[in-house]
Amino acid sequence: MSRGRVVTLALSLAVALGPVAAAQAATAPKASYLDVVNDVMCVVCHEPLGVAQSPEAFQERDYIRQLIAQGKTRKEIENDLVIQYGPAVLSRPPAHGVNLLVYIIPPVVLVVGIVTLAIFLPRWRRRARDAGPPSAAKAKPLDASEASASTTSSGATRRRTATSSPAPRPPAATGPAGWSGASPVRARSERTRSPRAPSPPPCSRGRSR
Amino acid sequence: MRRFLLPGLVTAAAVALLALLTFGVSQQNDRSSIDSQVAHGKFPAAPNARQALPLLSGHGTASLADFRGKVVVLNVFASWCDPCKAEAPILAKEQPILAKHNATLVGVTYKDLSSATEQFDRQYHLTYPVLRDVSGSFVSSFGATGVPETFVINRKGQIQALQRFPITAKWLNETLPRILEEKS
Repeated sequence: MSRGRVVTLALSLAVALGPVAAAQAATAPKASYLDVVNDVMCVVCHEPLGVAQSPEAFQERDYIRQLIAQGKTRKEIENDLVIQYGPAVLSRPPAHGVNLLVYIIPPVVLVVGIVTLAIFLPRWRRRARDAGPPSAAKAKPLDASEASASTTSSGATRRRTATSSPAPRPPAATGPAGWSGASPVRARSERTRSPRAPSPPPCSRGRSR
Repeated sequence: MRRFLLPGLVTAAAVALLALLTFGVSQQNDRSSIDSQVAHGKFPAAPNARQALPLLSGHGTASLADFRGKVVVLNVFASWCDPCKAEAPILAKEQPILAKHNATLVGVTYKDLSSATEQFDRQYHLTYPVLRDVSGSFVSSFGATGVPETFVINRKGQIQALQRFPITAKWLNETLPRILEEKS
C-alpha cells in the first residue's frame, strides 16, 4: 500500500468516526448512579433512595438513570431533581433559611458544651478536692497508742476496722503537683472528718432539744 | 452572679429546644381539624387559596382563587400511585358534567415527575387543569399525607366535602349535586 493511500485512509476514518466519538463523549456518563442515589431521598417514604422501595422511589431511580444517560453531571442531576421534587429530595438540606439551623445548632451546642465544661469542670474538681474525699481521711492509719485508746470504745473499734483496709493514698495523688496537703482548708476538713473527733450521733442531738 | 451562670445556660438551652419543638409542631398540618369541621358542617375556607402553583403545561401559574365562583373538585394525585390510576377514568368522565354546572376538576400532583404526569394525563384523557405542588406545602395545608385525596370546594371557597381515599362514581353522585345547586 502506497504512503498516499494510507494517509487518505486515515483521514477518511478520522472524518467518519469523529462525530461518533464526539457524540459518545457528550453522552458519556459523568456521574455515578450510586453516588447520586446515596445523596438523594425518596420524597414519599423519607428514606435514602438507595434502600427505598415505594413506587415513587422506583420512578425517581428511573429518572436518575435517564439523566445519567444524558451525560449530566452530579450537580446538574441534583438540580433537576430539586426542580421536580423540591429541596426535600436532597439528603443534605441546602444551607439557607430555616435549614441553616441544621448546620448551626450542632457546632454551637458542641462549642457551648466544651466552654461550659472548661469553665465549670475545674471548679467542680476544686470544690470536690476542698471537701476532701472521705476515703482519704478514713485511709489514714492509726498509730499504736491511738489504736489502744480507741479499743475502749466499741464504736471506734468498728470504725477503725472498717476503714483500715484501703491503702493510704499519697498526697500527690489527690491534688496538683506541689500541693502538700497542709492547706488550712484541708487541715480543717480533715479535723472535722477525722474518726478521732467523731461528731455526736444524730439521736443525741435530737434528745438535747 | 457566677453561680447563676450554669443554671442560666441550661435554662436557656431548654427554652431554645422547647421553642424549636413548638415551631416544628406548629408547622405540622392540621388534618384532623379540617376533617372534623367538615364532618360537623362547619366548612373551613380552603387554605392557601392564593398560593400560585405552576401549571403542568408549563405555561404560567394558577391558584384556587382563580376559580372563585366555581365549584372546584380538587384531586391530589401522582402518576406512580395505583389507586390514582383506578380513579382517573371516573374523573375524566366527570369533568364534562362539571363544566356544564360552572364547576371544574383541578388536579394537583403530589411528588411526581412532570413528564410522568403529562404521560398520565394523556393516557387517561384528563382535560382539566393540573397544578404542580413541588414543595408539597399546598397539599400539606389540606392535611394530605398521601394520594389520592379529593376535596370539594364550594362556590364560596369553602371545603364542603372530602375523601381521603380513592373516590368512586357513587361518592361523586352522592356528594356533588347538592353542592353544585348552591349559589355563590
